Amino acid sequence: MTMKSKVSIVKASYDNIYRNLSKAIDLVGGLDIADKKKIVIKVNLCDARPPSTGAITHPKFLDAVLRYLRENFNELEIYVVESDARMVLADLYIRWFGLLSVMEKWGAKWCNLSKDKVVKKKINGLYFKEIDFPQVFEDCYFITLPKLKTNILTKMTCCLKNQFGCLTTVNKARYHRWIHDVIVDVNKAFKPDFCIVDGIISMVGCKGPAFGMPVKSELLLAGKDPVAVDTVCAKIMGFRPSTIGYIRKAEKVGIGSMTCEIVSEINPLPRIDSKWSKVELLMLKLASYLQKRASK
Amino acid sequence: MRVGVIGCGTIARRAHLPALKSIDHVEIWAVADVNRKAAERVAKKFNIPNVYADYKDLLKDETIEAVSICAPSFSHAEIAVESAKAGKHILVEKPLAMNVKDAVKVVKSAKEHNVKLCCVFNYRYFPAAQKAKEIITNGNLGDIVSIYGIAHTHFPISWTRSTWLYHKGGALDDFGPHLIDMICWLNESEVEEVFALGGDFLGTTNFINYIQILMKFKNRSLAVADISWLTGSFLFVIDVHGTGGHLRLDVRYNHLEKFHGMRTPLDDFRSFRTRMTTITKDVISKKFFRGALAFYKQIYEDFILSIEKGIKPPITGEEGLRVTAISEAAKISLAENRPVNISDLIKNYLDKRDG
Repeated sequence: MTMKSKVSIVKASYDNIYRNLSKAIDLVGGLDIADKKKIVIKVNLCDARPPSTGAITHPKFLDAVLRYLRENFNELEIYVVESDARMVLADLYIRWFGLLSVMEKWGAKWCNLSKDKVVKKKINGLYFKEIDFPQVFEDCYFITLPKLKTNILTKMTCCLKNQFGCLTTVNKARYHRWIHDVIVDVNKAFKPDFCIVDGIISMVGCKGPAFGMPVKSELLLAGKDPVAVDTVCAKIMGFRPSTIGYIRKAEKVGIGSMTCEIVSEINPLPRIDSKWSKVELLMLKLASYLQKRASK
Repeated sequence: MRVGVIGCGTIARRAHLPALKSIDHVEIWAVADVNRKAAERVAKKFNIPNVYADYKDLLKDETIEAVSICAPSFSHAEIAVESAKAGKHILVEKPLAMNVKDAVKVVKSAKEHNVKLCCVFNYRYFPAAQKAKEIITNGNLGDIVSIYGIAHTHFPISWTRSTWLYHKGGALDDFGPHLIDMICWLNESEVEEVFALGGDFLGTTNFINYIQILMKFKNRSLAVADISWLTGSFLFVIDVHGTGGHLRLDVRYNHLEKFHGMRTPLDDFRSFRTRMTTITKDVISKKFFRGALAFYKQIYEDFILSIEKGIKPPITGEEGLRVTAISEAAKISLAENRPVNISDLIKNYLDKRDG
C-alpha cells in the first residue's frame, strides 16, 4: 500500500473537547458510514484505574464522541464494547469510571464482548487460523478509541493494540508471548474503520499501560488507517515506528500504511518522550527486547 | 493435629494451605467450599482426603481440632460461631466480622465453648514491625504522641476476580483492618473516639474507596489511618512520633528507620543503607515477592502452640473485635458526620446480649 493515509492532530483539553474532536474528524474527511445500520465503539479499560491516570478511556472523551455521533448519525444504533480480562471486570468498570452514565445519556448500548454470542471467523493470520467473532461486530461501522500510552510488552499501545481487547477470552495474557502477531491478527478480524486517539492525558514510563506516569499531552488524533495513526503516535512518544513489531507487521499484511500525511496546525510534531526519564525508556526497550526473544 | 479449611478461594490457596502443609505435625484433614468443584481442585492439589460443599458437614467431623476460616468476609462470623459450637479452635481471616454485633457474638461464643480464637493480622509478623513494637515497648520513643498510617493498595482485582469485595465497606473492610490493627498494636492503648472523612472518591462505585480515620486513644495520642484503593500503589507505611523519638515503619518493604530529636544527614545515611541492605536481602531470599504471605506459617505455629499449651493465641479475638469496632465507628462517622465513641459502641452490643 503506497497511498498516503491522513492523520489529524489537534490540541484539546477535556473542557473544549467536542469542538476539537469535530475538527480532528473533519480534517481527515469525516466518517464514511454509508449504509451501515450500527456503530461499534471499542473503548480501552485495561485495569481498575481512574480516568485521570490516563490508563483508560476518559468519560468526557466518550461523551464527546457519542455526542458527535448522535448529532450526525442519530438514527444509527451505537454499541460501546470492551471485554473482560485478568485485570478487567468490564461490567463494573464502566459504572465505576463513569462510562455507563455517558452511554445512558446518549442512548448507546453496552456490550461486554466476553459475554456476547460468537461465531468462528477464519482469518488465516500470523498466529490465529480462526478467531471468535462477537455478533455485535457483524455489519457495523467500527470506531476504535485508544489511549496514547507506553506498554511494557510492546513499547507503546494505541489504535492497533486496542483491538487486543476484542479477544473474548478472559485469559488474554496467554497470548503475550506472541503479542505482535496476535495484534496483527485481531486487526485483520476487527479492522477499525475510524480511529480517534484520546491523548489528552497520556501515559508514559516503563510501568504502562496501567501504572505509568500520566502526562497532560492535550492531543487528539484521528484517522481512518490504524497503522498510519499508530505510526504518528509512535513518533510522538519518541519511538521509531519501524521498531514497533506490530506496526511493521500490520503494514506488511496490508492492514494499513506507515506512509502518512499529517494534517495539523501543530508544527513541528508534538513529542511527549521528554516527559519521562531515559532510564525508564531503556527499561521499556529492554522489556520489549526480552519479549521478542521469548516469542522466538 | 487435624485441621479443616473452610473456603477455598485465593487466600486459602496462596497462603493458608501452603503454610499448613509446611508444618510437620499438622494434617489438613478436610476442606469445604460452597463451590464443591473448587474444593475438589484444592483437595487434589494439596492431597486433602475429605471434601465438603457445606462447612457444617466439616464441623461434624470430631477428629478435626481446629478450623481455618478463609471464606468471604461476610460469612466469617456465622462460620466462626458454628465452629465454636462444634468445639473447634478457630483461626479466622481478617476482618473477624462485618460489624460489632457479630464480632461480639464470635468472641463470646469462643469463650463459652472454651476454644481458641485467633484473627489473622499477618503484617505484624514482618521483622521490621516486630522491631518497631520492641522499640515502642522498650520506651525508646517515650510517650506516643501521634501515628500516621498509610495503606494504599490497588483494587483487589490484582488478587482475585471475585466481586464480593466490592460491598459498601470497600477498601475499609479489605486492607483497612491491617492498618487499623497495626496502629492499635503499636500504640498499646485503647481507641476512645473515631472520626472519619472520605467515602466514594469516584462518586459512582457505592463503596468506600478512600477514607481517613482520626482516632483518639486513651493515652491521649492521636492517629490517622489513610486507606485507599485508588492510587495504584502498594504503600503500607506507618510513622510513629513519640516524645523521645520518631519511627518510620515501611511494612511492605520490611524497613524501619528511627531518629531522636533533630533529624541529621547521618540518620538519613543510616536509613538509606539499612533500606538497601534489607531490600537486597529480601529480594535474594525471595521473601520480598511473598510479602505478607510469607508469615502465615509463623501465625499457624503460634496458634497451634497456643492450643497445645493452653496459652493466649498470638492475635486474640478481642483484638479482632477492636478492629471491627473501629471500622464500624468509621462507617457511622462517615454517614452521620460526627465522632463515634468506641466503648459506647461495643458496650451497647454487650449490654444488649447480656440483657
